[in-house]
Amino acid sequence: MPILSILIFLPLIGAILLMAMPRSKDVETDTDLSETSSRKVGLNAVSMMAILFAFLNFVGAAYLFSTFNQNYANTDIAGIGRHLQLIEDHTWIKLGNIEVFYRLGIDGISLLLILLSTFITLLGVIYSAHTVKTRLKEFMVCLLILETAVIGVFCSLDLMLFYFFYEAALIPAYFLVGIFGSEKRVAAALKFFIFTFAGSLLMLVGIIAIYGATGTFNLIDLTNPNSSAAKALHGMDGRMLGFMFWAFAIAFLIKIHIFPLHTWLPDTYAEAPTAGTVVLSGVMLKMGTYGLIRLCLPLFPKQAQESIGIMVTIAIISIIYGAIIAAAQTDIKRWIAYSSMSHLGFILLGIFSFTKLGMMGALIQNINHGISTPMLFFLLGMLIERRKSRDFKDYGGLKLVVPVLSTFFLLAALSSIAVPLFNGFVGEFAILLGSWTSLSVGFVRTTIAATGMIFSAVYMLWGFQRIMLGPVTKPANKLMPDLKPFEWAVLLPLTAMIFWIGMFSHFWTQRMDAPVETLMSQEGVGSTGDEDLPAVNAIQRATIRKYHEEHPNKPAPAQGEPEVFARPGGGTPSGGSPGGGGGSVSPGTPPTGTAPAPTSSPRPNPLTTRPVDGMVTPVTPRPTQPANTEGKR
Amino acid sequence: MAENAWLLIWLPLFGFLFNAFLGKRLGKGAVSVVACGSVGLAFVVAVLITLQLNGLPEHRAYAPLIPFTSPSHPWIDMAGLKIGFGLMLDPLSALMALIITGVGFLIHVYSVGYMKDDPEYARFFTYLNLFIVMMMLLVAGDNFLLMFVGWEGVGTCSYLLISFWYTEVENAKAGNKAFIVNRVGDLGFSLGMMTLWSIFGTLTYRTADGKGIFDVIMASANGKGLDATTLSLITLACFLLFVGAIGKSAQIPLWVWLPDAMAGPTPVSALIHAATMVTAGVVMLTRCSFLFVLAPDALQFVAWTGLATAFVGATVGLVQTDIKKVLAFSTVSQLGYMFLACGVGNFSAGMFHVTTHAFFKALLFLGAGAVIHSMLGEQDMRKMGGLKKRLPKTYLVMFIGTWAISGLLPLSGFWSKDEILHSASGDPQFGGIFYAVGLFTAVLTAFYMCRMMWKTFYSEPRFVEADLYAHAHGNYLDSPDPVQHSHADAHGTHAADETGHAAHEAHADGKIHESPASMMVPLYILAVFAALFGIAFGPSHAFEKFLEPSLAPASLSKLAVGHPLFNIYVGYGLSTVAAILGIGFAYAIYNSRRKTGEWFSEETKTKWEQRPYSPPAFLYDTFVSKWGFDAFYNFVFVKIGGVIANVLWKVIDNGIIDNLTGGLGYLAGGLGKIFRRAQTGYVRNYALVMLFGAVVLVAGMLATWSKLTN
Repeated sequence: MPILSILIFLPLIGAILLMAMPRSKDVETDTDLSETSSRKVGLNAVSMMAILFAFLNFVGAAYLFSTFNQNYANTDIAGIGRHLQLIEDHTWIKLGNIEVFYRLGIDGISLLLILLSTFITLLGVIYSAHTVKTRLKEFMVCLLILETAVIGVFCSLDLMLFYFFYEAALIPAYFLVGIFGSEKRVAAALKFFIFTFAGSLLMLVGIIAIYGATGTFNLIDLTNPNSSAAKALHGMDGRMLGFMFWAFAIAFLIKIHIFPLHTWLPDTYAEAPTAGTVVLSGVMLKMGTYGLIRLCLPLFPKQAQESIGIMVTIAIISIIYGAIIAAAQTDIKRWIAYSSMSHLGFILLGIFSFTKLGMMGALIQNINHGISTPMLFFLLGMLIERRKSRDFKDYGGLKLVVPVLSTFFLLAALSSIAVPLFNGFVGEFAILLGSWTSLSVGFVRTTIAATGMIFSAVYMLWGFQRIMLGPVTKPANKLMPDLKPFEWAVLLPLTAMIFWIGMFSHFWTQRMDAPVETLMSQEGVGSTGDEDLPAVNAIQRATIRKYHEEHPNKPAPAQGEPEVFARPGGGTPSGGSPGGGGGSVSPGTPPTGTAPAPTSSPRPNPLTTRPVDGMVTPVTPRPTQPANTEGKR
Repeated sequence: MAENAWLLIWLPLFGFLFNAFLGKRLGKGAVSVVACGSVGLAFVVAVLITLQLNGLPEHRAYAPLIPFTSPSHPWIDMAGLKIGFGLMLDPLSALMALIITGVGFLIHVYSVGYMKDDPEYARFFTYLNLFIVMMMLLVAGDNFLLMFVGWEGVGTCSYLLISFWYTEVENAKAGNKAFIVNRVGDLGFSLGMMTLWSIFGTLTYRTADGKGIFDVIMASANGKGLDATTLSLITLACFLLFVGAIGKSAQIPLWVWLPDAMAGPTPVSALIHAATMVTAGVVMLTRCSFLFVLAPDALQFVAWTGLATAFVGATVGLVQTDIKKVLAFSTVSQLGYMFLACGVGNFSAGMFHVTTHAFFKALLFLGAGAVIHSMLGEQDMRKMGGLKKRLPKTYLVMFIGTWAISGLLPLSGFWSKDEILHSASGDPQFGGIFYAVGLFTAVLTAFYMCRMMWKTFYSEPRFVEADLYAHAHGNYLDSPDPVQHSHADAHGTHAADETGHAAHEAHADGKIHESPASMMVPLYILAVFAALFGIAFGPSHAFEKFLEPSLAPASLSKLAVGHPLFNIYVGYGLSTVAAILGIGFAYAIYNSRRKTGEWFSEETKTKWEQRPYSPPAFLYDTFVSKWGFDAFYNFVFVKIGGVIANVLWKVIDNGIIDNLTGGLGYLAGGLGKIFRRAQTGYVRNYALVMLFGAVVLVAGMLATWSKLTN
């Protein structure tokens, strides 16, 4: 059963059926939620149809999730293709000798994103069914087509097909913003379209260049270091490869609104209708992070290494810049929009920490962001629906009026702040730990990035206070009704997910273990083979030792004195190192003898672990042993 | 019982869930029973576990957090980061469990009386139970990340409870301040954990098979020691972890949140901001004694921070007029003592003071709560006085609390404080300074506590009873009617509102009265402990021996060993003299000023205002302005931070970056205008352009071709 194709095209079929249906009557009067009698009429047929298809697709994705084989590995293939399964492979376009394939397949990384997309789209459809008053049919069609395109992106294993779906997602998104948004929707939609389209075109150039060099669009071949296609690709001129890397990277960075490519973000998120913002932030955004991980890293490992300096810098700027600007906002939607920028900074930092832990953290944080940010946007939508205003000034003291909504808001805010046991914490901590132990990021930059922890509390709690706490000052706020059943239906699943991921993260991350392991141990992306100690430990110890040697006046490491770092029970505490033996190192031999010592740095700093040529040295700390040595779970 | 230690967390967790989802519907009776009962049962479990610990090897037990799983049941397991849901029971966690559930239970019972008129009774107990859950996780988790869960969890509960009466913006702001300032500390804590992880590859303290951090340290130290780089990293980790303690335990410079936190209901101040949560920093340091004894630099920093905080906190406590603020600054100061003890390596003295402080400070806060309750919500000591006759029972317990904290023989505070001063004087480098400042702070402590007693209980009444009006807190009390009406449907707040108003009036008519039994009985029990705990366990060193298995052995320590300045009995004598001195000063000053209850007359204060740089005026201003910390932070982070945020947003983001990228759009538009002219419609022009293009194309191809063939 071609389940991936079904998942992709089911929403499209739904959309087509919807289009064939007669138009639902627009709700002419501005039904105010505050009137208890409003919306007593049941859902119309259009809504039912849309919900049905979104729900079917979600069930399909859940089925896919439950039957997914996380231990699958095709040992014939090196590279990330090893874990791709449920492959569907057909010729799609044949023009002369140019062949484009309809080639699908997923691994654990795409699996979670597919599940997330169907989940968020379902909630968006449910919410819209109750709130969109004009052109409901068109709205639903856009949402469903968007779902098709996004799932297509997550399944594509052919660059042209990827590009096709990637672009296809843009069109419904454009209409969602441009038709259904608020006052300045047209300008916002145009800005959004031009920005992302410019990025996409760059990517198209990159794809064509890859084809020119290798004659194939096949992602599995291109990322398999042993294949001729990959050899042809990596045999290209280094500068050319650099351009190609950046062509892809910029396309994705625009999508994930990283500084300084974020200016479309506040306008678009603010003007889009609630469900539009939700799918933009919860679903479409994920195409960007997914693209970085699925295309940029495995296709251009060396160039990605070289870009670490820039990537980490813009990631850190995004974290802090987004957070500070979020705190200054007067518009509630722009407030969360900028906070989203800050979160994406963390994700980018995790990816480019080039450690397994950082990558894993980025992937799970990607999912977390797809839950907490849409939840916040839903809640803002509910407030706007009640109050018809996006200005902080019009709110205040709502906790007294709508205690339940306020409680959900607090939960979403705490998730966004990344309080432990909420989902955000798992990802954020893993990202920061990965980047702290990463040779390419190091102590200092991680510390700067980690101040985002403080800023997130500042903008979130302050915003929460301005909306929810204090006295009720505006008379208009005093008659606000609390949550309606459909709003419960949207918020409860999201809350459940917040705690499910926050408390039982292993359930979700285990499916990504294998692909992350393969991706990060790929040559170029992967690490050196220091199996003896946690490499990070070794590297940092070496750096500090070097500092001591260059500063003899400080307490220096005892020369000649036996340096013993006994690890009882053999092996590292992080588990089962094969070569460790655990015991002591013979006198005089630094315990880090096998570790790559950092090259000399002009200004040695005990806290910086980045060697001068760290940008190009393919050394990645491997804090842990490969997961597969411990048996599959 | 130890294997069922999960009950310690699941019992209050049940209370939390019950009150959160059913509390409002089932009413106050059910809420009280479940909230107090779950914590009381947890106390029983804690007692059983403590009794059992002695018989265990190394006085330690490991238990799962999730019932019927293993202690290593994964919470996080990704890419080598393995964190289990496990508990470790040892004397330290058992002691804290006893304090948290024991004192916590008493405060729960007290709250039943204290909060009985609040319409949001269920919400209050929901948060209170959640706090117990988080605090238990903090002390009983078997790894740093679980401690961090509790650490941030109690911070969140503290935030929720400080801003419990959120309709007053000031309370909401105090909650934000507490959370955000604590986050600064939490940042340090997380970076400290990351450092530890990068050294040891694990975050577990100890495991049954000897792979935890402390096991590794012990094993390597029993060998030939740790190498210098590892020690450097451990020192770094200790400094970073201590930043966390600074935030949570309100030490300089992150102490500003604690006084503001008094905005919460008084039982909250007693439980969270005196007895348990704020001592988490000391608990953490004690838990990490294995690390800190390897980092003498970090410990010295701890000692100095503690000393400075003890002194500065006491000075600010001298000038407070709000009865709760006096106690808040006293808490800051006493926490400073505890860190001083840790800083000189005597962790058990620090924990001893944590314990006695939990009793007498909870007693004082609850006593102050009883005073406030009796005064219908009045907290300003300038408007009190003469309460000794009106509230003899409350006076008695407050008297015991004051006696205990002043460090006068033979109550608890004496033993624990003297132990700290004694070991502080043993610091080989700074013993003298530590002892002198510590002793002087003890004089200040006795003084400000007696000042409070005089102002509240001994001096003449400075209020007219008939004029007392209820300062009753509550979110639904003063809100205009429409809200309630809109609400009547769903949440029954309308009824709650009426209750509130009724209570309001009933109070205002009545006289000043003693608090109900549910409030007084916990006070009596705490008073007994505040009086006797010290003498029961201090002089015999029973406490020290009990805690010993949790602490790093002396053989591990890299601290220089010195000798205390005095014989312990001389120390006892000096401490007593200090306490009597402080009490004597207070007597001399306030006994003759019973009329006003003020040391300085209004004229003196006016004179000071005119001449702000005269020494007494300057000193007074410094203390009143809390040494300028609040003003400084307000200026730097709120004012300048706000300006920076607005500049970034309006100038940089909207101005420069948006225009730069938007400018590309205009550029495209402009180019379009230019090229539009090329669309002349004349075929000959198109042909010309085509020809031109073809030439360029061919030339380009040729160039590439020649490049490729070369």
